[in-house]
Amino acid sequence: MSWSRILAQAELDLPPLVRRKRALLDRLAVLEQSTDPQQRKDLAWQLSLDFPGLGCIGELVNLTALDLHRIMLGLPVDDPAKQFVKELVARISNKPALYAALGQAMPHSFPPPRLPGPELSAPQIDLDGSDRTAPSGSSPRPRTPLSPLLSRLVVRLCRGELQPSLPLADSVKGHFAQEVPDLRLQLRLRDDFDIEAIAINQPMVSVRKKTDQYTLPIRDQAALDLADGSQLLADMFGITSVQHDSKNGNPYHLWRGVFSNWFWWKQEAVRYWVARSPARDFYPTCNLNIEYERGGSSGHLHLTETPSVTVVSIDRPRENRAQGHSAAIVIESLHHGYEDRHMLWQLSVMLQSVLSIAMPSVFYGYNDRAELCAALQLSRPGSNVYDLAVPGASCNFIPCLFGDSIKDQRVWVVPFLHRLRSDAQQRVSRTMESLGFFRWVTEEPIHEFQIAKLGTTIRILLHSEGVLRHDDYLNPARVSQVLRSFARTRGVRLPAGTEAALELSHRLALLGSRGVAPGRLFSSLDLPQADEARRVLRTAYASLIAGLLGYTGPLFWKMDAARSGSEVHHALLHPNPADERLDQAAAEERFVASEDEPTEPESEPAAIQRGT
Amino acid sequence: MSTTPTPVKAKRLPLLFDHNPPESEALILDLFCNRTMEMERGLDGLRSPDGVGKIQAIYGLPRSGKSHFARALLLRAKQERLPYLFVEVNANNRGTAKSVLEEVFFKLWALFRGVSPDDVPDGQTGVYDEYLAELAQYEQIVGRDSAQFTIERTASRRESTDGGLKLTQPPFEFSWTGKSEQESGETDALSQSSLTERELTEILRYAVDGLSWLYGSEDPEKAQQVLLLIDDLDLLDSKGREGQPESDVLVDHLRMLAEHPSLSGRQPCRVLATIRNASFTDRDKDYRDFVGLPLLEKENHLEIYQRHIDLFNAGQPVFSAETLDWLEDRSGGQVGIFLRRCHEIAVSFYSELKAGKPISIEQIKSYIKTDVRDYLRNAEVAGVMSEILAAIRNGNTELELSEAPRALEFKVLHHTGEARKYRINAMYAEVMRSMQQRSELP
Repeated sequence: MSWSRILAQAELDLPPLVRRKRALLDRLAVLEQSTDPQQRKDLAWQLSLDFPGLGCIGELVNLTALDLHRIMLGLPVDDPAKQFVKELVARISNKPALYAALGQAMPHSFPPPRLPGPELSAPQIDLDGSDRTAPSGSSPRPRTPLSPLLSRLVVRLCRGELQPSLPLADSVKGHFAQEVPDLRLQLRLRDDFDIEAIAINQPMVSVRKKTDQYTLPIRDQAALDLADGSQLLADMFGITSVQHDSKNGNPYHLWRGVFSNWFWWKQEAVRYWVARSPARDFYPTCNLNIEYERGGSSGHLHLTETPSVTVVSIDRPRENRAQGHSAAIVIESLHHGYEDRHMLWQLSVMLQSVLSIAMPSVFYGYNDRAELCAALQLSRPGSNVYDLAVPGASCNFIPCLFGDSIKDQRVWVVPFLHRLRSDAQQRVSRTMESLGFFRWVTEEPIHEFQIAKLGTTIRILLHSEGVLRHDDYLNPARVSQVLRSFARTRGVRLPAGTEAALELSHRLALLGSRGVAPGRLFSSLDLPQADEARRVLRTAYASLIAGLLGYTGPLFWKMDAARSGSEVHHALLHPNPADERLDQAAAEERFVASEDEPTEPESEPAAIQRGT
Repeated sequence: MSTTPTPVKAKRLPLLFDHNPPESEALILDLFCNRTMEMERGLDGLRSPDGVGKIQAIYGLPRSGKSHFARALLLRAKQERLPYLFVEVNANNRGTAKSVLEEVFFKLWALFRGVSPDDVPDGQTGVYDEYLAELAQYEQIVGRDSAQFTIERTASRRESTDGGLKLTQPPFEFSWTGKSEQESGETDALSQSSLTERELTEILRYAVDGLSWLYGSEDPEKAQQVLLLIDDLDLLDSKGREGQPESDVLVDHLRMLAEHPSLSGRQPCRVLATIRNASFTDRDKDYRDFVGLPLLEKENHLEIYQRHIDLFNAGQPVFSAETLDWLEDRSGGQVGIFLRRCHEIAVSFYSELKAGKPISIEQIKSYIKTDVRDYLRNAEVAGVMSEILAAIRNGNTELELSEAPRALEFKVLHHTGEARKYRINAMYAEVMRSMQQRSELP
């Protein structure tokens, strides 16, 4: 099944069906009521001629719930149209006679025998099927087990058994500007996660030399076939050094090159991507327990639906505690290969922005048997990630202190991330551009920079609505006007002092520290003032996201005076009750991963039914 | 969008129902209808000095009128005297990213070379001449993939000329490589016979920088920015397949072109492109959502039909109202398909067309019958026709072919996107079935 092909076909076929939905439903009703076999065949024939897009519905009926969900997310039609399509799929799916009748006219779209139909709602958590409860002392809510494959991966991560490394065989063939047969390169992963190639007495590949003997072109794509049958593809390749010499009278020729933005794979479908990254503790944001023979551990996070995201907190050895903890990120593969890159980037930006988990440099792909089958370089090793909230707290936007988990056992970061992830999957995301900018803010500890850039982040978010334009960025009055209008129309309660903090950010961006008091020759930002401005802007940004995406839960305003929890800010004045129910349910979900006997590779639908 | 054109008395039948976007500026606007909000959004976008670093996408489904919309948008922008230097390149079927970039170079080069001496800022003729000389040198190697030359990146940036005027350093210095040098290996750098896309893009950025210098007046009334429209960016592949690797290469380099051409802060090139929805979805990080075009509604199709009638058929209807409804229902909502059907049928009834007699459904069916018989006699597609007839005999409207449909594609068969799976055009299916029932076909 090609997901993008079906999406392209659905975009073409479904709008005409929606346009004539009344006529279509009437004709389907007539077909359903007909009992004469010949008449049914004729009716189906005529129906398929008048509504050729029905073939696409046949394909949707035969998709897994997961794929149907993806198609629905990507479909550029409005919600009523999506609802109509879902109902149509459900109607045909639930009526085998109707399905069979349509299959007479469209045998390739409605193939016999019928494949199992999809579940039409988004994957649900099977609460009834879980007889496990959390260990004593933690939440009494029933915990949903993760799928066997995901459980196996996270348990191995916790035990320290999953230490991804890249086994790179020598190359046997290369494709640079042109094919280079019999190219023997020794490959190794460098500390900066680029891959170095060493060529001894091998043909020079067609990239140009430069006087300082460093690479000329960037974005020169390259591919290698390796001796073990795997492949290495890279968006960038460059020659770093060339040497000519002779040993014992034999000419000796050595060159070195570097591959960046690379993708290594064994030509097997990836089921989960795993990466490790430095992170702070995030105990209060946990909703996942991991149980294995030596006991169990809590303080992990799991997001259901597609693609599932799991964050495993891994203790560092005691002597390294000062450097903070390490997190492992496990993300479900959507496209089973390189096409996941953009999705991994988006989710990594989200995790860095929201949970202060630094963007990983490399993701390792695992197949159905939990074996390494691919790896993908996502970014260069980055700088540290700094909290914008309370130092040591893991989450920039959501109440995240120990006291919070005692007062309210809901994990609010889950619905917040759910909504961000759904938005990122839209054709045009409203938040990703600003969130990408916010990510940079978290990499810089200087207050002036953070405050100035937080202002820009808010401007970019307002820009996504189309009301604020780039030529308005330097006009504080216009920014304030758009902000007020946004808050009014979306029913968002902004924290007190937002406009003043935005103006401060504007002045700091233009004048540097002199912007604190532009009337004076010298001025600087004092710490309480910086903390206040940063807190206001951070909360305002989260409030705007809540207004855009409908997040109804609490936001992190500041630490409680008694230091026993957070003071929260509720952004939405009139939250949608349906959204509230959704967010609350997501915040109350609990999961467990446990050590199981090795099982057969699981099918995708099985994984869906188990909540991943 | 535009006002309804006044019917003309003379017939211009070759243009009637042409499903490709018109070439003439007058027709582009006369045949453009609806899309009012999209046009307003597009013009607002062009009025805003936005869009550095990303390609601004005009996206929609295949045959939904993207190219026509883009051309109409640029014409409206010209009419409004928006401050742009317009450059249009059609990437459809060009095969390689490089060929498109080369055409962009030649168009930018023509713009630069065509500047009248009066338009060169006072006292800066020397700077203009320097840009001109560099670009003229590059013209000798762009698009010529045979001559051997050596190219080296310029080592440093020059801050100013003697006159204190900022001039960007050209990206490369190149020299021709003699055959003896090649053979003896005396050159310091490797000689090459063609430019890479990356090198070409740097040269384009230099040309954009030159134009930005020339038209970057401090007076906002006079300042102009290069606006590059790439039509069918995702259909670059020589077989018209969307989303092929060459399109991705072109996207990467166009993004670089959309960035500031130099550190001097001059205006970058503003890149607009028409692409299909699927490509926009795949690479939305590269594109800015400029304008999305939904499928047109039935009444829009009928309005477009009427404009064709008014402009090219002296106001005389080609189809009866009933026939028109019948045809529109079978267009799948795509204006390109609708016009194509109208065109195929209209030219088959040329005498009726000239005489001004409306064509009925029965006549169309009769035309299809003749067409089917012709196809059956055509040895090249006879095999596929027999597969189609077998499918229809079984009451199927879709089939999996064992060979390529050749001339039958788009007319009798529509590809579903899945390998070898096709749908039979409803008009043909109905007619062929009735012929089978009357034993006129096997």
